[in-house]
Amino acid sequence: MSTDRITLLQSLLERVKRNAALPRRFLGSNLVFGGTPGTQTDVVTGPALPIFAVPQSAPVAAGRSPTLSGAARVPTMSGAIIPLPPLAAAPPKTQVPAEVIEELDFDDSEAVDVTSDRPPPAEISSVEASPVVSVVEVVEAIDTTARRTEVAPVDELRWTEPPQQDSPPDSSPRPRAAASLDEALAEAAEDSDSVMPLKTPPPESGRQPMDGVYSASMPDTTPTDMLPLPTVEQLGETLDLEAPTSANIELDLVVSQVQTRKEELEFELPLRPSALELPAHDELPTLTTTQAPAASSQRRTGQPPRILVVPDDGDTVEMAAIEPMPDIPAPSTDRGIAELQAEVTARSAPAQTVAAEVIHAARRFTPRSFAELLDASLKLGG
Amino acid sequence: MAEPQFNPAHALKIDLGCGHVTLHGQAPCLVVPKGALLELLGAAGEEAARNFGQQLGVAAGHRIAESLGSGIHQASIGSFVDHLGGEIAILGLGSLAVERWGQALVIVIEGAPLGRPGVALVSAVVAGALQRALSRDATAVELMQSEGTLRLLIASKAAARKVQQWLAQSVPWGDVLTRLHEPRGEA
Repeated sequence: MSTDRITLLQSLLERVKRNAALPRRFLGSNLVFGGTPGTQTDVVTGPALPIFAVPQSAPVAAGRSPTLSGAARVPTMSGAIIPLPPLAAAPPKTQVPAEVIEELDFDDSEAVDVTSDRPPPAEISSVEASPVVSVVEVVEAIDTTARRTEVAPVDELRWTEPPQQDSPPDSSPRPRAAASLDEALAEAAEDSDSVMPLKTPPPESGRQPMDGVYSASMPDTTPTDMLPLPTVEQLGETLDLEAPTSANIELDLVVSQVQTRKEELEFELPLRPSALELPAHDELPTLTTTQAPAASSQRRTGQPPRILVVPDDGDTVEMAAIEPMPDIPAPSTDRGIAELQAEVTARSAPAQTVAAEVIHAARRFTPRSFAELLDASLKLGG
Repeated sequence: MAEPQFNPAHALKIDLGCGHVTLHGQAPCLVVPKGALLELLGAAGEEAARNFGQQLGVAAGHRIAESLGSGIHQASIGSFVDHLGGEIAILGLGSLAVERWGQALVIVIEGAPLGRPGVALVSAVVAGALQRALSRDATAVELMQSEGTLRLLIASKAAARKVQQWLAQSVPWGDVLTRLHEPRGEA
């Protein structure tokens, strides 16, 4: 809260106190704020009678009687505006001291302008009527606030008192820390016997006593500190390992005795003593001949397939996947480095016999019209 | 001089109101299923089928003559086949083509109605059209038929009888054509 706000509230408090000291008659009769009385509502029912009410809280100058100048217009339910003759407001019954009126510094926006065409909304009357009550309530509220501010330190003092006289919380106490290692071991042995505590302290169980052993600081122990140290018999004799050498690790490669059926594009790599060694040039996969019968016969006889092209070392990966299927010509690579050979069975030499003998050639006949062809056809066999 | 093309426009008119079908503006016609017609012709006999087909061919030849006019005797093979094939197609008897084996004129019809009544009908139609259009006494003899293809040899009546004899003697139709081209003394 800012300083200006505090200053404003203090000045308001002083003014309220000062007004509170005034007699009640000044407050009850004339301190009526703007707005229509509670009995006069904004909604006019019944005949369109001229309704006119002069709020006594209209902003008038001190010492002047509130009068209306000009013709006032009162709205009705039908929407027609009835002009009213100028009326003189009733004089106040009690003369209000100018000082009191001056103290009530109302805002002009809270006053109802009866000269306006539109009637004030219904909510305005209720809102503006509330400060009438709040004048007294503010004083009471201020008094209550003042009393609370006086009581507050007492509550704080009571709050800090030790809860000796209070009944203990209905919960099991927190596990207190052991003061020594022996006590901790004993408690651990007891805890191992009991499965679980009878009552688990809820988080809202209240404050725990902080005096006595509870005020003692927690020992800085770790679980490893709580374990018993190993004995010499348990440790045994310690042997130092030799320093590592640079000798290669020799692993025996076990060759599988079961010959599984090879997949279509499977290539079995030759076994080498070490996987880090580069394969020899002869071990590189090569593209064999695609002549199916010959390849199958060579496979049966056990002869190695004829190597057509030996790829470079860089082509090992792509060439390793090519192995011709039995009795099926192997696919060619897209590089065109393999030369496919097909088995061609040549026909036997034709016999030296005369298949046809031309005795005489037909006469050259080229009809120029369909009728000529028809005539020639009709002459045949005649 | 350009030869007139076959014009099938408005060749077949169906008057739904009167229930009439007109072919080339001539006499009301009947639209009969092929199977029913062949069954009828088979029951009527081969001679009746030839007579029926002869009438259809004559009418077709008449329309060909009208289309080609006075230049029908000078009409090329293509032009005449165009008109004759058009008429055969409108009748629903198949697709017509012409083969020339030496001097022999062979008409090939794809999708022709087969069987004895069908061959008799088509042969009579082709012969009647040629007779009426070119005023020739031509005879259409069945050389072979297989898988919807019918080959008809256009020959004289004397030659037609010889061909039928050779075919009855199981002489291949190629040899029949060869024999037709042999000199008269040898044939």
